[in-house]
Amino acid sequence: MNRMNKYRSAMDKVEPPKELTEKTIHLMEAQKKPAPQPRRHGFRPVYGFAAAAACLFFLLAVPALLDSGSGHIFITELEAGTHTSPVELTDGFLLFEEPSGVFVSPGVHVGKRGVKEEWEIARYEEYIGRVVSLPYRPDGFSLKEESATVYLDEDGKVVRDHYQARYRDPDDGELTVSISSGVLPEGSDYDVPDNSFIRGEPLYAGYDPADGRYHVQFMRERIGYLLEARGISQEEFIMIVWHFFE
Amino acid sequence: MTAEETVRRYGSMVYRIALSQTKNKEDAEDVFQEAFLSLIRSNPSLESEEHRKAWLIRVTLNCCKKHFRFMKKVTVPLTEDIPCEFTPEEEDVYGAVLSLPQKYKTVIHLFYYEDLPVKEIGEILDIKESAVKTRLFRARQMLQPKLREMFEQDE
Repeated sequence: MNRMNKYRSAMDKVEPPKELTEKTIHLMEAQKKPAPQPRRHGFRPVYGFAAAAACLFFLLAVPALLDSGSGHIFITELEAGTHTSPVELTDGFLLFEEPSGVFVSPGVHVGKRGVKEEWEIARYEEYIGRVVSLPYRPDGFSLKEESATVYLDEDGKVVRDHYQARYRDPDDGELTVSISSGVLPEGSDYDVPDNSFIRGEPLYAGYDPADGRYHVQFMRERIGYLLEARGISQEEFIMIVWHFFE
Repeated sequence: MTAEETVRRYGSMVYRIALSQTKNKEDAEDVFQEAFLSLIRSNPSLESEEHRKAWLIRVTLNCCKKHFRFMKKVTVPLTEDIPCEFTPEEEDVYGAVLSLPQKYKTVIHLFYYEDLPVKEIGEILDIKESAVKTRLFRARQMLQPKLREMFEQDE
């Protein structure tokens, strides 16, 4: 099998893209950081590549102090006018990635359907054991519609559920919250690994420049969440997301 | 070892395994990131560099398996997606290995590229040494006619 030397020489030429290496180091450094002191505002120490990257970001950064109501989120790397730069929170890191452009059929997660039923919100909340209302609602936003749909099997057992709420503000800002128990809600991007974290919990964050849409998806205590927003600032969206992890 | 040192030291290994498994640059990049972030999240106690290497290989292969469930059904020529220059012979052999079924190309890669002994491959894959030898034997059998044909065409 001397020809396997050709496999070796071919493989020797394969290297990970530099930007992938740097991004991964950055994410690892960010996840490794110790939890900050509560309510401590200011720049926290960062290490290695993260420090170098942070210096670059700080040159253009517009630090923003956001009032969270129950504390503060100091965003150290929020660049004015951009959407996909890494964002550091007091206890988290968000990387709003642009979509890869590859569509993956949601069929892989939809699973068995069954008989459709619309439930009262209170009944649905009792079923999933969570309150579904927004933990933080931006100024001007009001609930326009919400629904809780479940699918039952032949024995009347819920095989799938989906809650969705749409909020709007007078300036056409829109926020959609989707929830499902046990899986990420339909509409999630099932093909992406988590790229961010808040309070030690992983999530995926994305920004689609085609329609100016932010979105995050995550599993928390066996509940899947998908939050999507258009027409609001990145800061405001981060505030909404952050409060789901309180 | 810092996160940066770990990625710089093992990045190529992880990426090559991921690419050989997924045959797709984008998926390999996802697996690459997942594998290294798992190291940070799990923070395993690794006694030596050999352990760290074995741990990363195992996690990379697991990430690939996990990824297969949601992987895009995209068929591209095996080397079209690879941003490097192969010689025609390298391209043939590389393509032949990557066209093997998953379990065979895994042992071929670990044995011929990572230079891991059969015993260690068995430990990483959690299979007996005899099973590793069987897979290597079958993989070689599958490769031989393909490679012979390729090289005969060149002659």
